[in-house]
Amino acid sequence: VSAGEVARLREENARLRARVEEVERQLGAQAAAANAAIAAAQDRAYWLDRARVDLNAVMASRAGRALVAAVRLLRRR
Amino acid sequence: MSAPAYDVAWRVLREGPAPLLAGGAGAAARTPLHVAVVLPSLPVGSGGHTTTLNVVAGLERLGHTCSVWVLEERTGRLEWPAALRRKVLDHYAPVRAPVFRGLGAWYGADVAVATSWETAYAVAALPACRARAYLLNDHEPEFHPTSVERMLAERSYALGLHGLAGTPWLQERYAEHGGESSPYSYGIDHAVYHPRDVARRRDTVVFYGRQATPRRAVPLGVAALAALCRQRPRTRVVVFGDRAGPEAPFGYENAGVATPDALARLYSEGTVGLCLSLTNVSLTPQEMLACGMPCVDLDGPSTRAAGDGGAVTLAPFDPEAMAAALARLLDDEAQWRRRAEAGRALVAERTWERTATEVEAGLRDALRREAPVA
Repeated sequence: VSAGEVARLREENARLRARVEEVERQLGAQAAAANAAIAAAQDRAYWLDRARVDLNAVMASRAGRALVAAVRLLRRR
Repeated sequence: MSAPAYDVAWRVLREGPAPLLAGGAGAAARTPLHVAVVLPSLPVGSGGHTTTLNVVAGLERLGHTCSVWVLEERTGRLEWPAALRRKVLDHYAPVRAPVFRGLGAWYGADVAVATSWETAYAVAALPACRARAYLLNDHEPEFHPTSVERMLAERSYALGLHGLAGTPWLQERYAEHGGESSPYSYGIDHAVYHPRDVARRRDTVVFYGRQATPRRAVPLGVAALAALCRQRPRTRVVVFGDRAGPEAPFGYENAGVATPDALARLYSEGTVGLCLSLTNVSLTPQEMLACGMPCVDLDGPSTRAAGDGGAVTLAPFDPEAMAAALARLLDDEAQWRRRAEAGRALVAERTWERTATEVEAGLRDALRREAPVA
């Protein structure tokens, strides 16, 4: 292997290491942002979870759909 | 433990832990790390949970991101996730982490941390981790009589998780099963546990009498207090730790399951604390010391290894001798003052910030030692 080739491989190695570090940092930042977003959503959903109410299931029921329709009517007026 | 949880344990014992992700050693020096902490349950007033969740809050202050996972119980009575998170905030520590019910939504982590023997198997089975660690807060095999649970608790020490040992005694127990570990020390919330503005009484023994926890040696403490009250009938005894106090041949006040603030006031008013442990040392003696109240604990391998003997009075497994140790602290004001000062000096440097820094070092050790498997 020529000296030039060794230098090229070293350079590529350094470049790849730097890229890995950058991707690792991005991954860490993504995990932190995702955890923060989930925690914030949990803080908003506290009373529903405390009452064990699945609002999506409630709103998909006949009563829920009627409620949505009534709210729409009220908004139109 | 639920049937699926047993199934996980058998599978891990048969097949070994799930493969780790590559790159643990490379991530060891990085901040933030994603640290996922798995709890067996979420009761109120648990010393182990206090330690674990203060560690989570401390790691977050050091720049890491955490998630908390609570194993589902057999009963299905476990709260929903947002309610679990609020419970953590209300009763333990101001964490920023989301809290999950069960492991169904698992999305990987740099380090997955077990906090009990049940969770050790769950963590060993988790994919998408670079390393696994095991926060050791007590010697859990001793929680069970001869049983499958005891065997599983013992074998959880040999799963290859990197131990984070709260005391030298726990580090030795873990090593007996071939486990490698890094040490950390317990912290104190000094904003809560400090001498309060209440008059210190000279006649009061404050007893941790949680009889639902056999390792707290409540019958021994009751016998010691009975002997003490026979000798000194005007001694005032205050018991805390359980809704119903223990049966006792002497009168006492029951403070029940008190809040940290109420406990700090009680420790600031009392003359001497009595908090016994037959396994690992608990947080309670050092919280008593932080409030300026000397404390008597049981002389045993874990309390001796903790090296707090200059501040904590260690009494033998003998009610009369324990009563004599309590009486000396009630009657000898010079000794009481020496112990109180030694206690405050001992715990002055014990903070949750220091605990978090030590645990962080242990997590980095766990990442460095994990050979990439997949």
